[in-house]
Amino acid sequence: MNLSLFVQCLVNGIMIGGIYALVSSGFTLILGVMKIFNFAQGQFYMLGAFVTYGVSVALGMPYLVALIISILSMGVLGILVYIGIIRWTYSGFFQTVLATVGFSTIAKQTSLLTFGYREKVLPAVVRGIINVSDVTLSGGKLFIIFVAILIMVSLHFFMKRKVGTSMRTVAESIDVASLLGISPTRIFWLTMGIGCGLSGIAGGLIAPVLCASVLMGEHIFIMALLVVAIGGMGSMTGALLASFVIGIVESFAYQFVGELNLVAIFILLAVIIYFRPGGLLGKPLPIPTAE
Amino acid sequence: MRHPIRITGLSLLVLLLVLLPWIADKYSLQLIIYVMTYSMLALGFSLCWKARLIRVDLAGYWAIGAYATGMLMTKAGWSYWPTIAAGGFIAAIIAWGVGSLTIPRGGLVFFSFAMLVSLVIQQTVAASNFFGGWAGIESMPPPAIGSFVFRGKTEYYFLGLFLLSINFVTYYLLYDSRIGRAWTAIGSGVGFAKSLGVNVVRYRLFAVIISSFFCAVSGSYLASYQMYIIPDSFGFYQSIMIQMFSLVGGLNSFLAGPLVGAAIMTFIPEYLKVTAEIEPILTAVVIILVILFMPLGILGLVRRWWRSSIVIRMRSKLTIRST
Repeated sequence: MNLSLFVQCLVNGIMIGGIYALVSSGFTLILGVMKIFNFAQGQFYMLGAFVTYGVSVALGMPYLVALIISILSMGVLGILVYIGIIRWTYSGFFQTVLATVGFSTIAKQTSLLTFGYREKVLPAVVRGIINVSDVTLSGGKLFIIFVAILIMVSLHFFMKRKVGTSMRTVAESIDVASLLGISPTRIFWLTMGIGCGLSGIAGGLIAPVLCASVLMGEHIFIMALLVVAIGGMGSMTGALLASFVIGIVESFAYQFVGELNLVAIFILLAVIIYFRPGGLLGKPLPIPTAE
Repeated sequence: MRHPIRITGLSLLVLLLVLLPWIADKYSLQLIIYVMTYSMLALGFSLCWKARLIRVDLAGYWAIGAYATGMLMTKAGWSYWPTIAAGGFIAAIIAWGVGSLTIPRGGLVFFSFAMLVSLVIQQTVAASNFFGGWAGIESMPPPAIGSFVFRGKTEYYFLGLFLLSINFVTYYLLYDSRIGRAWTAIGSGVGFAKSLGVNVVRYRLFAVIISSFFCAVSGSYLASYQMYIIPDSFGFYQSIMIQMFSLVGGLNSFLAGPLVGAAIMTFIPEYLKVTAEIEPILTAVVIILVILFMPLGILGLVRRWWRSSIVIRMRSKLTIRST
């Protein structure tokens, strides 16, 4: 393995890790604050990619506008799913799981009927190539890394502000939050909006590099789940750390074992679960059962 | 003869089940064979739900059974019967490993880790050429006893009925025993069960192992009936379907619920003639509607109606007496 291949693997890993970080931090936010296992997270990612495709190619708007529209529309859709389905099934963990599974199936099959199996190709946004001695880097990948890190940093500062603190209070205890004058319902709306919007922007970012396809949602959901299991349930920093670890491991494992790279990550997860049950940076969340 | 009505009903049911291949047409018989396969899976889901473990990984163990049968029959040249047990034991060992690693760490860890296990099983099997890749295993020999070869749907119906009744009776005996009462105690509350001296982890582990075993049995039955296996039929969507069967039948009816749910949710889409693309949408809509309006499932509804009608009858008797 020469230097050029090594650096390319590393950049690919960091890029994929950034996308995983966006999706899985939304996932872990919803899991931590609302105690909902959001199976539809991957489908929001898929829909985000398609919204970006539709706005930038079919309507001919600039890419950045398409990205903003995709994050906003996915956030609104997430809030609508919360109001329409999840709020009425809040009786138990299992019920909410099945409700999000139901929504995710509906979203996937409807977009399959609408768009078909064919991949939709977006024109590349950033075309440049950076050459440093014999290492070649594509500008599109660096752009994704830049935007992902920008969003993660702003999310970090958002969680430090008053709204973010009240979110963490609701995550600790709904009763205490209500006593302190925080409306849990509003926080749930906000969490759902931010969580699904993060998925939407991840889909919009990845669409020009990989193509937009209906089947992309399932793979990213598996990866987000792995990230959250390794990083710790409900821990944002853990998710961030684990996404980059998984992205880099996946990228290098693909070079050596090909299609079996999922097994490599899975073995890593089994070792981590054995030594740290709650993941790298988390404690095991209690599972609220039904009835 | 303590329960004459119950015994008469049971013997009528057995008679009906034995005569069914000659009553039903070929198409319905095929659907019934699928219902029996799904029932064995849904029974496993309900068993774990009794101990309050949510399983979204049963399709993985289903795949283990199917692939054990397929690989051992085509590559190693075994006969059909030992492969059932082999698949079951492989699944039980994997379930033991997964369970003993994750069950002590809480329900959510088990839930997500087990789901990953099933997805990894599917992806690995599909990606490696040793297991036939995405094309799967084809042209498996049919099972045979001596010179008698299983060819028609009737033979497979009876094979399935035999396996399903073993499964059903095992679960019935378990529910009626000390183990089943321990599961009931865990279902009422983990802390409550612990205070009664129930070893929660060990009983949950046992639930996981036994249900995985019977899922693998169901998988080898499916493989022998279809005579081919493809990895696509053991995906995440199938695990969700299994949950839906238990949910529609009734989550609190651990034995009859899965059977009723599997029968209803297999026959209705077939008679509505929905295509393969629309069927998942129908499934999802049914799931959401059942959660919203019928949280205890069809049997829960029937049971409530039965009780309320008894209460009304009793009340009317009381009023007659008082007047």
